[in-house]
Amino acid sequence: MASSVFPLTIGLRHWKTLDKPLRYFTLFLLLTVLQIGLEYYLGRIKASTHLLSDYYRSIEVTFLLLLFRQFILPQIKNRIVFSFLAFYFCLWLVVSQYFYTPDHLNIPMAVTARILLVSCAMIVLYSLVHKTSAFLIPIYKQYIFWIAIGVLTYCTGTFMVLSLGNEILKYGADYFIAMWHINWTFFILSNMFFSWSFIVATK
Amino acid sequence: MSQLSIIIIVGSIITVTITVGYVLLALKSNRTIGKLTEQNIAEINSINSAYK
Repeated sequence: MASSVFPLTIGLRHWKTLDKPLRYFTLFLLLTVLQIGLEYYLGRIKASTHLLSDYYRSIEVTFLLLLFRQFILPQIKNRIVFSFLAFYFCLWLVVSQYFYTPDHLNIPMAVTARILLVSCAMIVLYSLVHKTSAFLIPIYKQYIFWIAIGVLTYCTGTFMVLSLGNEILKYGADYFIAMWHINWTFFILSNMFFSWSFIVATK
Repeated sequence: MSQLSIIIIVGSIITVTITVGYVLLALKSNRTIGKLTEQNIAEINSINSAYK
């Protein structure tokens, strides 16, 4: 949780100088911190956090896809982002109606969200390389590059542990916590990239 | 149980390696395009100055 507070603090500190997409991203980080805090509280009172994670995931996908939309090549941005969002929410309705059990992690939606975010982050990198403005400004000097890298790192690094989450749970809480260290490691790493994106933007 | 751990760790390493490869490719492409653009600008400038 502390790692996600770090980029949020930088974002809030430089709020006045940030452009619109970065302010939007700061709001997303604020929601992330609130979600983690609430999950921590629910965990302390031994309540299930699966439903909260499921709702937060939808917010995460919506926020990040709409953020990435502003950096994708103009001729494809609406088609890609809105078809991804429509696909995600249609699948979410179907899965939550027919396949979701509250005592399990919602693996189909978690995996779908990761695949969509990774695809969109890769399209953003492709767009950055092919945009005329990127010819003269190296892409690593643009903040969206570091946000995309943070998303890519987190989503690909935790893909396996997340997709086998229910299998891991079968072996007990100790094994789950041991394996969940992979998730925490990549979460901290992605927050480092997010912090760097703010530093790049405010330089 | 250990088999599951191996699958998760190896799978994670593979997915992260693919991502790192993609990012490095993007950086390399950006650098190449940047160099070509700089060359083109230099050529255009030399042609312009020759006309003057």
